[in-house]
Formats: sequence, C-alpha cells, structure tokens
Amino acid sequence: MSTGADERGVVVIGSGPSGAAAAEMLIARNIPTTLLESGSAPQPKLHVRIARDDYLQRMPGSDAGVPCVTSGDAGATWHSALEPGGLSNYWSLQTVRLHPDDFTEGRRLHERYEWPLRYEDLEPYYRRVEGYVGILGAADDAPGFPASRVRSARALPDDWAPIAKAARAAGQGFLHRSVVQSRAFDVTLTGTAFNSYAHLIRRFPPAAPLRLVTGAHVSHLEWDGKRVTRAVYIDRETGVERAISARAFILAAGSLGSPRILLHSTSADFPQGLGNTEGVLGAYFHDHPKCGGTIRLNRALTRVRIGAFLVRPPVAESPPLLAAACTLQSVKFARGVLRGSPSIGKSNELVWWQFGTMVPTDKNRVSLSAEAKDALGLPLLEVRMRFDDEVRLALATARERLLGHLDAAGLAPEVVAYRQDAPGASVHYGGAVRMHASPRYGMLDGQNRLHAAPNVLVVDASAWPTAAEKNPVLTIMALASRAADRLANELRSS
Amino acid sequence: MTSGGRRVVVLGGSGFIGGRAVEMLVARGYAVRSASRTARPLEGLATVEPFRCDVTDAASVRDAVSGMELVVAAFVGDPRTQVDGVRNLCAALSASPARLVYLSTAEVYGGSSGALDETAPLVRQGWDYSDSKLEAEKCLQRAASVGLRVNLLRPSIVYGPRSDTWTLELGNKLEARRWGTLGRLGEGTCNLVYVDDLVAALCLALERESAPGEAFNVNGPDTLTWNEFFAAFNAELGLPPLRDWSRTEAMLRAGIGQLPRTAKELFARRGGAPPPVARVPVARRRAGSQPLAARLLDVLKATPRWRSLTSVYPRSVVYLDRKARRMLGYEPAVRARDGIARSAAWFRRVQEGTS
Ligand SMILES: Cc1cc2nc3c(=O)[nH]c(=O)nc-3n(C[C@H](O)[C@H](O)[C@H](O)COP(=O)(O)OP(=O)(O)OC[C@H]3O[C@@H](n4cnc5c(N)ncnc54)[C@H](O)[C@@H]3O)c2cc1C
Repeated sequence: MSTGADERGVVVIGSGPSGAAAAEMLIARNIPTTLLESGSAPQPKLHVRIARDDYLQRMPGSDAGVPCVTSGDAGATWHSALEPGGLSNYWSLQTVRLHPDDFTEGRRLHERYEWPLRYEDLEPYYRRVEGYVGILGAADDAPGFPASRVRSARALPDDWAPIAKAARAAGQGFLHRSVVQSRAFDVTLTGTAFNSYAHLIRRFPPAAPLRLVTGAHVSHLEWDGKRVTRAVYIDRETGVERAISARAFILAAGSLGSPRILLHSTSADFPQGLGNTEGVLGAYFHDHPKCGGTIRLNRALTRVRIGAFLVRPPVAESPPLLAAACTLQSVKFARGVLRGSPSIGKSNELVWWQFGTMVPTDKNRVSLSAEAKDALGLPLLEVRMRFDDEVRLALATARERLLGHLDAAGLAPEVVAYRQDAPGASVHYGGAVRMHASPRYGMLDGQNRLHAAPNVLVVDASAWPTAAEKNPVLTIMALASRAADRLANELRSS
Repeated sequence: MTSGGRRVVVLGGSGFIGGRAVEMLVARGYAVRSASRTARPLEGLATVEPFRCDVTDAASVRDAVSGMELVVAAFVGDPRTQVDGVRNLCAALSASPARLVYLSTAEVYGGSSGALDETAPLVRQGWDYSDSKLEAEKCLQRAASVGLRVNLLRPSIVYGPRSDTWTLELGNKLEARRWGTLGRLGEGTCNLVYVDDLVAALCLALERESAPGEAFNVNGPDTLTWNEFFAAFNAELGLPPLRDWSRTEAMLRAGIGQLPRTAKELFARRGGAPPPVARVPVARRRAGSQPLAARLLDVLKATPRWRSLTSVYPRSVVYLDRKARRMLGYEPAVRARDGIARSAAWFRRVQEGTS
C-alpha cells in the first residue's frame, strides 16, 4: 500500500457543498489541504433554463451514488452522487438559513434534541458562504425567517400581498423564495448554477495550497490507538488501495457517505465503528418528509417563477420538532400555455411542495449490510426509514394553513393534484453522525469533532442533531466553514 | 358476536358490497333490513327483511331508516343518486341517534400518488363517480359537525365474487382474449381489498364508534401492480398467458375505444342515463378459428378506458390503512392470491350455470 504523506495538512473527503466549504476556509487560512473525491469526472448532464423556468433538470439515479439496501416504508429510495460536486450537480438552488429557534426547539421534547451551538455561532459563516454563493431573494427578516445577505433583493408582486397579509396574521412569514442567483436563460453542462466543484473548487486560485485527488474512494480511516493517522482509499482507475496521512481528517462525504466510512473504520478500540462509543453511530437518521401538487385559484396572479416561500407554522403552535414549510411557484410557462393560461404574465395555477420534519429516533438508522457489497467490494449501507402518522399530520397542517391563507386572500384555492413522497425523495438527509454536547447522545462535539477521536471532523448534514424543515445546503456550508475555521485555529496554535 | 340482534339497514343491499354486507351482518347476528330499489329477497337469507327504497326519494329513505340503530350506506348510482341519496340520508337522520357508516372510495384522493393516509387532500378528478363521492363526503362532514354520528370508509379496489368490474367484466375480457398486460402503463399499484375484508372493516366501524366524521382508508394486505393482478386472475381462470400489449398498443386501443364512448356519453348527456345492464359471464368460447371479421371486431372491442389507462393503471399510490388498524382493530385477512382464486372460482361457477 502506497502512502501519500501530507503530515502538515488536512484531508477533506468529498467535494460536495460541505467539503467545498470546508476546503474554502482551510485554503483561506493557508492550511495545506488534500481533497479526496470518489468521482472521477462529473456525469454528463444538461440543464436548460428558459425565462427562469427550469427544464431538463433531473434527480441523480439511485444507482449513481452510495448503493443502499432499504427497509421501512415501501418505495423509499436514497439518492446520492459519487461525482465531483456531489449532489450540487442536481440541486434546485433554494437557500434558507435556519432560525435561532431551530437550534433550541428540540429541548421541549428531550435534551437529546438540543444542538451544541447557537444561531449566533453560525451567523458569520452564513454571511461568508452567502458572499461567494450569491443569493437572490427576500432581503428582510420575516416571522420565523432570518433573511440571508442577498446579492439581489426580490419581493413578491403586489397582487400577492393579500396572501402575505393573511400569513402574517397567522404568525407565518410569506416572502419571495431565496435561491442562488442564476441567469434567466441558461444552458449548462454543470447541471446547476452553483455546483460546488465547478463553481467553487475549480475556481480556487492556482497558488492555493490545495491538492485535488479525484477517483479516490475512501473506504476507512485508520486508528493507531491515540488518533486517526491515515485515510485509506481505493484508486478507481487502478483499483489499487492507497493511504494518505494528515494531522486531521474532515469527512464531507454526504449524509450516506460519511456514516458509511465511520461504520467501516473498525479497530480493537472501536469495534462498532470509529468513535462509536455509545452506539449512536447510524441512529437518528432523518429526512424531510415531502409532498406537493398543484393548486388552482379562482383568478390569475402575476407569475412568480422563482417562487414564494411560506415559513413553517409558529413554534408555539406546533408539536415539538414537527412542522413543514411550503414553496410555491406559478406553473411553468410552457405548461400554462398548454392548459390555456389566461395571459402570459399571469397564472391561476400554482405548483407547490412542502418539506416537513420528523423527530429523529434510533429506529430510523443506517448500518452496514452483513452480506451485500458494492462493486469495490465495500459493504453496502442499509437504510431503515419510516414516516410516522405524526409526520403526515404535520405536512397536512402546513398545507391546510397554506390553503387557509389563500382562501383568506379571496383566491378560493382548490387542490387539483397531490403527491405524497416516500422516504428519500427530498434528498435532505442527515443525523447519522450527530453532534451533541454529551457523547451519550452524539458522536460529535460542538465543533464537529468526534468526541472519541478529535482529529476527525464530520461536517456534512450527518452532524445535524435535528432537521428543521429548511433546505439544508446553506447551513451545511456554514457549519462546514465554521468547523474548518475552528480546526485551522487549533492547527495554527499547536 | 357482539351484535346482540341490533337492527341495521343496508341501503344498497342488493349490490356487490351491500349484498355481502347483508350476508355477513346476518352471520354476526344482526337483524338486517336490506333496502334497494328492487327489494329482491336474497337467496338463502330468509331472516333478512327486504325493503323497497329509492334513495333519491326523501320519504322513502326516511321509511327505510326508521327504527334502525345502525345504517350502512352502500348504494351506488349516477352522480345525482349519490349526492341526493346522501342528502336525504342526512335529513332523515338529522335528529336521530342512529349511527351511519358510509362507503366512500379511495378515489376521493383523485389522481394523487404516493403513500396516502386520511390526511391527504380530497381532489376532484373530473370523473363523475369519484367527484360525486367527494361531494357526498362533504355533505356528511357538514352533517357530522352538527351531530350526525357518521363514519366513512374509503376502500381501494374492492374485488371478489359478484364484483361487476373486477370479476365479471374483467373475467369476460380475459376469457374472450380481449385484454392484455399494459406494459409500463400497467406498472402502477393495484390496491386490492377483498370484499369480505371491507365488510369486516364495516362491521368494526359499526361496532366501535369513532368520533363523528372520522374517515378510514381500507386496503388489503398485498399491493400488486395492475399487470400482476391481470396476469394472476388470468392464470387462475386457467387461460393461456396474457399477451403484453405494450404501452403503445394499449394507448392505441384505448384511443380507438374512446371514440364510441365519447359519442355515447354525449348522447347520454342529452337523452338521460342509459338503462343499467346486468352483467353475466359470457359462455365459454369453443376453440377453433374464427372468421377474420369477428377477430377484427374482437380487437375493436378490446379497448381499455382512456381514463383508466392514463390515470389509474400507471398511478403509483398506496392507501395506508394504519388508522383503521389502530382505531378499529382492522386486520385484512384475505391475501391477494386467495382472493383472486376465490373470484375466479366463482366466475367459473356462474359461467357453468349460465352456459
Ligand atoms: C434534485 C435535488 C434538489 C435539491 N435541492 C436543494 C435545494 O434547493 N436546496 C438545498 O439546500 N438542498 C437541495 N438539495 C440537497 C443538496 O443537494 C444536498 O443537501 C447537498 O448537496 C449535500 O452536500 P454534501 O456536501 O453534504 O454531500 P454531497 O453533495 O452528497 O457530496 C458528497 C461528496 O462526497 C463524495 N464521496 C462520497 N463518499 C465518498 C468516499 N467514500 N470517498 C470519497 N468521496 C466520497 C461524493 O462523490 C460527493 O462528491 C437537493 C438535492 C437534490 C438531489
């Protein structure tokens, strides 16, 4: 086994949004960084945007990434992408900050649902990430919604104001959707307007202390009894196993990839997976339950292409950790025309979708399959997920509130199509390597370090103790950026 | 059983589900009145009181439910019958302590897909049958909010002996080789619930009162694809394997078939409803060659409905019945294989009797 030596620096595993944000910070702090990425080249894909309507956007095939054996609810599918940029090749650009309550709300249920950090801890990192990603959307705070620092401020058209008024009266913000700014007309081969590989990593200055190794699929980390010394990976091109040493290791292999690596990193000290002293590795896996459809209104509203966002019902009126937010969009222009849209600039049909939350428990979890292996000979991940009735109820409550606001605005809404997705559809997973102040409830400390192996950090959404219903990328990147910043402080001072 | 001879009326007692409900209620010791337009006495059920009732006539409904502790609404009909029937029922029971169980349908969720429980929205789909059930549900919910003791059942695809659509019609089509699997369009989920399981749920709903207006999905233990269902029923009938029509052929056939159907509908809309047809199994066909013209005619008759083909058979949906299991203690007992075998055996029996 050959060894790439990088004793001074940090190894980051994964080039999705979390790995890219961590690498960005390390490079800015002038820490030598090696980025190991499983994918060799981005999968060819085409994305077409016409007049801000997206066409030809697709989901990663469920065989494109980490292969999984599923159980729990029927129809569950788990998506990931083993390619440079990870899932940011496919995402739909929506960016929302978590709300300060999201870090503390779980306390109402049990101390295990408390984050070991606060909104204020992340705020500067949100600003940093928003700075280089470039966001278009609501510039002002609204109930339940801390606004991002936006590059282009946008507000909803005037004829949408009655809906916002009704929502506000019920304690919910209703505002222009926030997304990564992109061109109105675009044809790209990188899939999306912000691909963490194409738009961040590839644009680091040539002099940056970064070594990028693609086609390097990490199988496990090596523990020498005191610390992790090496990351072992399989070179996809040659099939040869290699290892690389470093002072610290940042896992950013995604919500399925990171727990898989840790589960596969066993040793005499950690027979159940690296740092897994209390059996929490793999447990508390969560997803955003998802549903959506089409709503018809009794009159046409000015078309809102990027969309509107209805913040979750107020915390005080919801059961702990159960809520959902709604995104609305006027139907795509092409579809509007097909359905005899009354005018070009207006539409009486809205497409809407919701992301809800679930209470993470140890029943929903990932683990390693005893028998099934992938093409590289590594054990497959087993994912077990079940949505309880309370989850559907929270989705329904949010939907009824949305319909109520539309009704109060005199729009007589009628649901004309509806879809309730099986687990996995939202691709907002996390929790399997959660943070908690106490090792009893979490593998990671408040700085994303393994309690039991502090030179290993996990910075993707695996680290989240709970999942507020907000789209994760912005928070994933802010958290990764913060963790890398803390790590840089530590390395500099020692 | 727990009935203690309680008095129950089944509105629509001569129908497929209503008829089975009458039989099973009798077996459970209820005193059953079977109300229908024909008031035809049921064979072998001398204890049942046949009762003539037209649900579109308010007075007739009032008579049918008078003196009853329990009411089962299992009548079907055109949209007007569905909705007027329910309105009359609400009026007749407005000041009554009687309990009502209404048979709705999972089709009230419209073309929705995914795993749906009772919190899913009700969606109109431009189909008379389900839209009128939806309207009926709304009437009942309003009545429930002012005290009507009603619970609603939303069964998925109810099949079994005497089912017009899923046993007789389908059996006839399979027998005549006028049906195939539908390629990708038949890969949606067929949520089969055997009629006995549905009636068991109905009995549970009668016996364990839930909050007024509470609705329950009722589904079977297995979910097949439609193609699997067609193939399994075909095999149980002992017929040679079904031909796969493929998506394109199925669409073509449905398109051809839609022309006369549309014409008929337009005609019917002007001239009122066509008379109901009583379906019986066609006599078993003798082997041997047919003239070309007859074969051509067969192809023209082998046309799936456009609506079913485009929105029912490809739909990937599961109706979750956890609530019925939790609150009613419902436990479907008849596996799809057994239910299909029983349906096929019944089809053959009736066929032997008619040919
Ligand atoms: C269709 C779609 C739409 C979405 N829309 C939104 C949205 O609007 N807003 C939002 O916030 N989020 C959205 N998401 C979710 C978002 O894309 C993900 O949350 C985000 O990409 C996660 O980033 P990550 O870095 O944690 O993981 P990933 O993006 O999964 O990246 C993981 C990386 O690690 C690499 N890797 C994995 N295993 C190994 C290994 N063993 N060795 C080496 N490398 C490895 C992978 O190749 C990959 O590059 C969407 C997702 C999809 C699929």
